[in-house]
Amino acid sequence: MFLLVRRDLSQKYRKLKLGYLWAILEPLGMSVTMWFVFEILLGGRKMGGQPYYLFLTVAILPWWWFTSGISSSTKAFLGFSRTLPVSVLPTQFSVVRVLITRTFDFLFSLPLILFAMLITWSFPDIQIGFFFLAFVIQLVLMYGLSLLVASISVLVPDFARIVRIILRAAFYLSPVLYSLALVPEGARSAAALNPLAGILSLYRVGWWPDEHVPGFGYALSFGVSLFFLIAGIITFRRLEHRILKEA
Amino acid sequence: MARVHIDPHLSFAVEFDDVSLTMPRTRRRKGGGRSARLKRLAQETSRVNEPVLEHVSFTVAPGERVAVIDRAKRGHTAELLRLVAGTLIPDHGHVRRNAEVIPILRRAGLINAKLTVRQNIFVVGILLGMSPDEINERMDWIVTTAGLGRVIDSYARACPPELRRRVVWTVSMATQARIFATQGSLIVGDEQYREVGWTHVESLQAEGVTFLVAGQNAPVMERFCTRALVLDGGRIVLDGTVTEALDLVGRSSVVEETDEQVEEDIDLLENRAERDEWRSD
Repeated sequence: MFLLVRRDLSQKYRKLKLGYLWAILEPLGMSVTMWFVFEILLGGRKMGGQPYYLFLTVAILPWWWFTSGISSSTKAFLGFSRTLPVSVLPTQFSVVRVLITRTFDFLFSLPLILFAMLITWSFPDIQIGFFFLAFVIQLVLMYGLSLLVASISVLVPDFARIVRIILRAAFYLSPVLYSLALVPEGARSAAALNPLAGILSLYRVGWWPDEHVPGFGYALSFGVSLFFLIAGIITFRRLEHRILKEA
Repeated sequence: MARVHIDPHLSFAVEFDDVSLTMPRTRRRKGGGRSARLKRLAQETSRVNEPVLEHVSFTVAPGERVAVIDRAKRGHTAELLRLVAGTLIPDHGHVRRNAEVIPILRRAGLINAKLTVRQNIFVVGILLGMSPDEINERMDWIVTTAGLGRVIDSYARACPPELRRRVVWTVSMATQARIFATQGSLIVGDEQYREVGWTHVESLQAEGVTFLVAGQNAPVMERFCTRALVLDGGRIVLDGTVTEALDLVGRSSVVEETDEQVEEDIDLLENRAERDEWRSD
């Protein structure tokens, strides 16, 4: 499995001059732009914890992982359609393969957080441990969602476009640019239904302890993640024979 | 880690129990009316579910070498082999097997032109269920059997289709599976290499390895197979000896896939390979 992932990664980056640096440059560009817009151009309004650049980076990297993972999972089965008829590996390996490739991209981009910590000279406390918890939960959520998205997009070609729209909307609906604490009390539990809300807050609590959402919010976020995992597995099981026919 | 469930206690190598399958096909629009003609002109296609197998039951005993022939030449043998290997799931009924089945289909197309031959051996080997350690262990055998001495570290792009088929064939054989489901030539390569192939296949035959072969030419079938299944319209119309089957179908109509077909396959797959490259949005 890891051998296949290594091939995928080396193939993806080999043709590019900057190679693996691209795993870093894309989210870096995004976080710098967002920081410039919201801190310099629209400065003054406090959107979240300070320093804002670090605040953004900590959430944008997982977001980038999420969005690139889900959007490339739309092609997971189609992309491997020539190997599916002969592969004796389980069908869902195509999805796992895409997901692990993207996860490595995310891990490669983590030094950006270190970089942001150094230039803003702010370091996390012991609660940074939640960062790893958030990583695991996001992995669970992404596996479920990838299976769901990959299975459906084999059968419904339009689905990839729908996913793109949903992802774009989800960027603003998730507390990437802002802190969940800024959401009015009444809307907060609705916002917590978004599984990314709890996860992104967990990534941040190492630096900003008041980013913690109430226990209920976490339960909701993680419950929804678990729901997607189960939904993904069930959908895939139901559709597997049709996916294989398309290969 | 296998995709399919294996019953080691099954007394048959492969068992089809009331299996039905339909496959989605793209069909050009039919019909004579003006709008139908216009749609045909615009290359609009419609998707239909075409029946491939209808309530098919048969068993293959261990060590049997079964030729699968499609009388109507609709290419349904590939689907049957995929069912055997478990890379297709029947709509109805069950397929059981007592050991891992290695499918040998679309051979040249499995090779990724952008990787070296050695990398390709690893990728194909993993797809066929070997672990990297096993592949390393058998690498010498693969290289000598397929005669890859000089090209092993060059890019597969530079390799002729015939060599690509040979690589995939040899890696498939290196899995040391007990059941093979092969389509196209059982033996690949030029004359000299065919000899190597035959020697190997005949040694497997002596060990009691089960083969299902399809898309094969008549002389090879007569030489190698002990039994033949003839499919027509989703049913088995004959289950008997190869001679009986060839008498029924007509000798000349059982032909090996031609080189053109292989080239076409590669063309198709090169196109697909480009689509395979993922770009982040």
